[in-house]
Amino acid sequence: MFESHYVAIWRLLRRLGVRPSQLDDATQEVFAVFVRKLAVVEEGKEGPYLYGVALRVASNEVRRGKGEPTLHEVEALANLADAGPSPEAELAQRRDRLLLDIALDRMPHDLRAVFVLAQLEELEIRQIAEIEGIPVGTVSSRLRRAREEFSAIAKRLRAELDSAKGPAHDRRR
Amino acid sequence: MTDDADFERRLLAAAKGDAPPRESQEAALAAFLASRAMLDALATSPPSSPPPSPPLPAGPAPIGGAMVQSALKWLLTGAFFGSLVTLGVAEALRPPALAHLVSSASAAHFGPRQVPTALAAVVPKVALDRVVPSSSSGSPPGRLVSAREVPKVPALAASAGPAPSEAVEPSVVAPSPPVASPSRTSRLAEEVVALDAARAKLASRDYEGALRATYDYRVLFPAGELAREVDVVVIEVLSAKGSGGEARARARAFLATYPNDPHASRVRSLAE
Repeated sequence: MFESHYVAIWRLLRRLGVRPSQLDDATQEVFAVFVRKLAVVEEGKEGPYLYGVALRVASNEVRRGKGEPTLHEVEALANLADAGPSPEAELAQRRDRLLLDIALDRMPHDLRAVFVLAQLEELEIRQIAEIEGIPVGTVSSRLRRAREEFSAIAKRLRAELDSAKGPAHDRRR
Repeated sequence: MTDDADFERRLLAAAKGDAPPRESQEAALAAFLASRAMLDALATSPPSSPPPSPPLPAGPAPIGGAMVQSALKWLLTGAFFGSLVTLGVAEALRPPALAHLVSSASAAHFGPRQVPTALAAVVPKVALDRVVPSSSSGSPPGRLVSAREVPKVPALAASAGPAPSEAVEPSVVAPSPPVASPSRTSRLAEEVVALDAARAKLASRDYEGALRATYDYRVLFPAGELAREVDVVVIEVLSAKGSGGEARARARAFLATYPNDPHASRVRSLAE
């Protein structure tokens, strides 16, 4: 259904670095382009086409509004715990999601795109090559580097979190 | 204290089930339906009659009717890449008024699959007997967490959306039925998690694990709203692991019961 695609594209854009405040507009932009281009989209290629548009929209958005949230968002979220009746599990999930986006933000954009499509959207290398318009070999090597990069970033992020934990708690007292 | 690999896995897992807030989905859907109605009009009306003015920035380029139909059909059936189909679940989380909107707008393509008033009543209970796998080594329930942020479901006043009233059937403007209860939406979120678990195992070629996960699902949600999606996963698993005969038998039974299901074409290919 339309909503499944809408959700998928929204999520993809988020993971590709579009800021929450811009997400709705960016998602609608993708579909507006799609509807306009229906006539030239080959039958059966609608999925790759939508993804391709989403990649372009995301990289434009990211170029426009670089350098927003970092670890302070995570701290803000921790403070949220005092405020709302939100269940703990949900809060933990939101926090992890935020951390994920922070980690992704630290990746080079080309690696990030391949990583998100392969690791999170579970597309095949062949499909990614088609969407991005690059050779399969390039996708493979980017994906390999992207995985290494993400591991390293996650490791650093975790260390930063651990060292940030103390002060954040003090501040709340 | 978790180690680095766990931390990494947790971050990646957090991406699952991330979804936009209800309101933005509804606004987008209304805009989309409006543009869709416009395209339908373009596709069916004779060239002499002018098309209704579109609310979207989409310029009404001359588009072949067949092309439009197939593209819209694709968009509405969710014939997307594998894992994304899971997100068809969003459909089940839709407030009843919206369900009505979509079902009436898409009935022309797919027949009356979405019955708006009681989604739960639509879910076939027969599926349970048919599809429970023979290897019943189900792991214990109770480990499911709510992975999806379930926002409050606002009562959608269909007439208040940006969709022009002439573009949709009059039934759409009916008053909003009662809103889904939080317990129902959180249960649906759990269903999504259970279905995702089965799909993930299928994707990683862990066929026994996938069957166990579908079994878990049926134990946990005997009248689940995603039973059909689970049926499809079972058929795919059986087909993938080489139990072609059983896969075909189940695929035929599925098609006989739900000939108009959005998954029908996929299932049909497995039935051959």
